[in-house]
Parts: sequence; C-alpha cells; structure tokens
Amino acid sequence: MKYLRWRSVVLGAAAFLAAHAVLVAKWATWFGGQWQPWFLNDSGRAVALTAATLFAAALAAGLLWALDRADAIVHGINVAAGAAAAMTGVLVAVGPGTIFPIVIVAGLVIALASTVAAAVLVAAFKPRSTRSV
Amino acid sequence: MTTILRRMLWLASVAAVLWLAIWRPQAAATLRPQAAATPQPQAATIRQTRTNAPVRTAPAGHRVGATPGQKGATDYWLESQTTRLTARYDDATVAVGQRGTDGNFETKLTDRGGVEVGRFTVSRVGLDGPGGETVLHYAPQAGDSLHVFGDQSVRPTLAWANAQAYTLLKDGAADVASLEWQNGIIRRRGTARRDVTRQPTELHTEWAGGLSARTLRKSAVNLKWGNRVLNGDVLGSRLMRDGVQIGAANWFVKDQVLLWDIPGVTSGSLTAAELTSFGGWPFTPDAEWLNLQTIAFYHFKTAIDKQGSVARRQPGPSSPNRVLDFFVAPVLAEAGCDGLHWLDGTVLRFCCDVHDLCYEKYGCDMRSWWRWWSSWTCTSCNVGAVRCFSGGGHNPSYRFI
Repeated sequence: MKYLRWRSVVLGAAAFLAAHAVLVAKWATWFGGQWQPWFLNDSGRAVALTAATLFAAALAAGLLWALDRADAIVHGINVAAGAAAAMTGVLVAVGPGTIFPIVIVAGLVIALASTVAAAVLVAAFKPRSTRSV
Repeated sequence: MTTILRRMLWLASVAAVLWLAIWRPQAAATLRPQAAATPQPQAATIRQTRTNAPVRTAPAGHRVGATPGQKGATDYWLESQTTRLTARYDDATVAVGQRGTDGNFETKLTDRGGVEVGRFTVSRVGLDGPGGETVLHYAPQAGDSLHVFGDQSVRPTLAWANAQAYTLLKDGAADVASLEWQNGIIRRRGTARRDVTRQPTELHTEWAGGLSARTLRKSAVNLKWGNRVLNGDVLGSRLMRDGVQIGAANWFVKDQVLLWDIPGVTSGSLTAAELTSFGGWPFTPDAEWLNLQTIAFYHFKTAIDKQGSVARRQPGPSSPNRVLDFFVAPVLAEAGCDGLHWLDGTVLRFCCDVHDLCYEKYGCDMRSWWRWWSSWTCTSCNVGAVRCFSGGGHNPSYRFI
C-alpha cells in the first residue's frame, strides 16, 4: 500500500469522468456523433481531450502532492489507476462490446502515457529522492 | 435526410461500377456472332456493318445491355491500370504477365524450379479494342515458336495473355494448322474444351498507386452469414496497399454471394437475389474480376470521398445504459471495433471484424473472455484477436473462421 496515493486515484477518476461528461454533452457537435459517447469511439479529438485532461490531472497531483521525483511518478501512475477504474465503469455503462478487455488495455495505455508524461515533467522540478517511497 | 441521400448515392455508384463492368455498347455486341462465325474478319467489314446497321428499338420494361461473359469499358480501364499479373497454377507453373509502356504485353512462364519454359508476347497494331489487330508470338524453350494474328473478337488483357501462354505450354504449341480458337483461346485442335481462366490457384494483380490484390482459391465449410450457411469453393481476394493489407473480398461460387470489407472505406455484400433485375449475376465472376472489383471498390470509393460527396459511416445505435447487458446480454457486436472505433480506419479493424465473425460463427459472447474454459473455440477467437492486435493487425488470424 505504500505506493497508493488515494488523492491521486480519486483525482484521476474525477478527471476521466469530467472528460467523459464533456464528451457526452458535446458528442454530436464536437466529436462527430458517431457511435456511443466514449473517448475511444471518436476519430481522435475525444482521445486528445481525455489524454489532455489526465495530463493536467497528473500535473496538478504531482505539483501539489509529490514530495520528490519518485513520488511524482507514483502520483502520476495513481492518477492513471483512478482513470482506469472510472474508465472501466463507464465502459460497462455504455456497453462493453466484444473486445472489451482490449479496449480497457488500450484506454489504460493512453491514460498511463499521458499521466506518466506529466509526472516526468513534474519530476524535473522536484528534488531528488532522499528516501524510499 | 442528407445522410440517406449520400448513402443512396454510394449504393448507386456501386451498382454503376458493377453494371459498367458488364456492359458494352450494343453495336459491338451485335458484331459478336459475326466475329465468331468468321474467326478473323477484316476490320473494314466490321466498320461497314457498323455504318449500315439498322436502328433498333430497345424493349421497354426491363434492363438491356448486359452481354454475359463480356466486359465493358470500366473493366477494361481498370485492367489497363494493371502493371503486372502473376498467375500460379496447380502444377506449380507460374505465368507473369507485364504490360509495357507501349501497351503491349509479355508473359513469362516458369516451371516449379523457376526455370523459364516459355515466353508469350501480344503486340497491338492499329485500333485498340475489337477491330484492332493483334500479333501473338509464343516462344517455348523447347519446340517451334508460334507467330499468329489474334482474334478480332478477343480483346487481349494480361489475364488472357497469361491464360493463352499457359494453354500453349500445356497443349504444346505446334504448327498453325493444328491449332484452332476455342472460346477465345488458341488451342490444339481436338483438345477437350475447358475454361482456362478458372485454372489459376492464385492470381496476383499489381495495380497503379501501390495497390494490389491477390486471390486464392479456398473452400468454406458451413460458414454462417446472416440466416444463410455458405459452403463450397471460395475465391478470396486480399487488397494490399504498399504491402499492407487494407481489405478483403470473398466470392462464394456455389452460393453466388460476394462479400467485401475494406475497413474505413466500404463493406457490404451482393447476392444473386439482389441482382434479379439484371437476371442474377450476368457474368461468371473469376479471380481476375474479383481482384479488379476489390481494387475498384477502394479506388472509386476513396476518389468519391475525396470529392466530399459521400457520407461517412452511419452512427451506431445509442444505448443509455448497458450495465445489465454486461452480465446477461449476448454479444454487442457493431460493425468495426466495438468501443474502439477510433481504430476503425486502421489495419486493426480487421482484427475486430474477424473476431466478430468468429463470435457469430461459434455463437460466442463476451463472457467467453472470463469463462475461457466454457468454449475453446470462443477462447480461440479471443486469443486470435489479442494476437492480431499485438501483431499490429498485419497478420489477422483467419484460421478460426
């Protein structure tokens, strides 16, 4: 449990749900309105919006709560974990489809890529780790 | 409404492509019996017949113009863009036909060891198409060469050149007196009639712009398609662009069904029942046609898309909440990648379509992902999808279907 950062997990889930809310509200006008509102069902804008939201969430989590470089990375991964949990819940709600495990993995990769990128950016401005996390 | 009109426009364009592929001017069709009766009529005679032909009334109430077995201008245009055509036969002979910049053809025949066993050239003289003159030259590695005029009723294509070269190799080219025209092919007199265009086990059409299509002969066993079960011989064509597979089409010979799927471009089916106004399929599809038709689907659809006159895909059915479905409902299968339509325009769509087809065939549902022991075939479908995705979609697994 020493790698668990509850605040980041919740922030990640909230960020994903916020992005999804925007998708649902503007699906027809901003995102083409094809298929069901879901960030991986769009030609790319929805993916970009969701990735950008998670990037911002991880950036905020790292800047606000990370103690050092390693902790920033851990916060970033926790944001992705929270987003993945919310993502799975939303996928169940909208209809999982025949390849849902692959969809979850694809979503997780996108979430991790964006949050870890933000965490690495934050880590550059944090002091070196002086303790084990 | 706009979407419906656009979809109708697309369907009309597909029908037009099919129709143009089988249509040819009535004047040319009128000449055919005469050409058949006289193997090599003079061009002047044909032109005279055209000039003096009476004006005929077309019968009202039904479509006219289809001439079974004959191809039209669109098909010939598509064929003219083929740069190389490779036919492999079941005796391991390979015929590679290439089109020169002057419009002439050359087919090289090799045996199973890759050794050249013959060469066949088609040189065009004068008019293009029926009425023009062609000179055929066949030079086997062993035996005498052959130098003859083509038949006025035969419009040479690369597929024809390959078929003719292979036939001369198998029949054994002899002196001109021992040869005769049989169904548009020069054969040794007295040999049993056979449809030489149906013989290649594999036909690879290399087209302009990096497009190519490869048709293989396969067989289907109880393949479920909607309410039908498809069986028997299948011509399966894979469409490639710059070496990457971008689509496929299958022609089920016995059931007279054409299925095609070019992800992000077009997918659909055509049956004889849908062509009743044409009297069913007015020609017998073969490997050459399937390759060109598959290329045409891509070429014409993308060309139309670039002009902005055709709609994108229809939106799928919306469902507010499928929580219950997750546990109790059967498969939620949409066209493309369910929940991952972002990738529909990529090669990965194949993984999804093959997976959906596999699910449909074996009656699988999403529970097979976690109840993997309940059905090994369904588990194979899922493993195939994972392998396909992890392999970048370049090698979609078809063996499960």
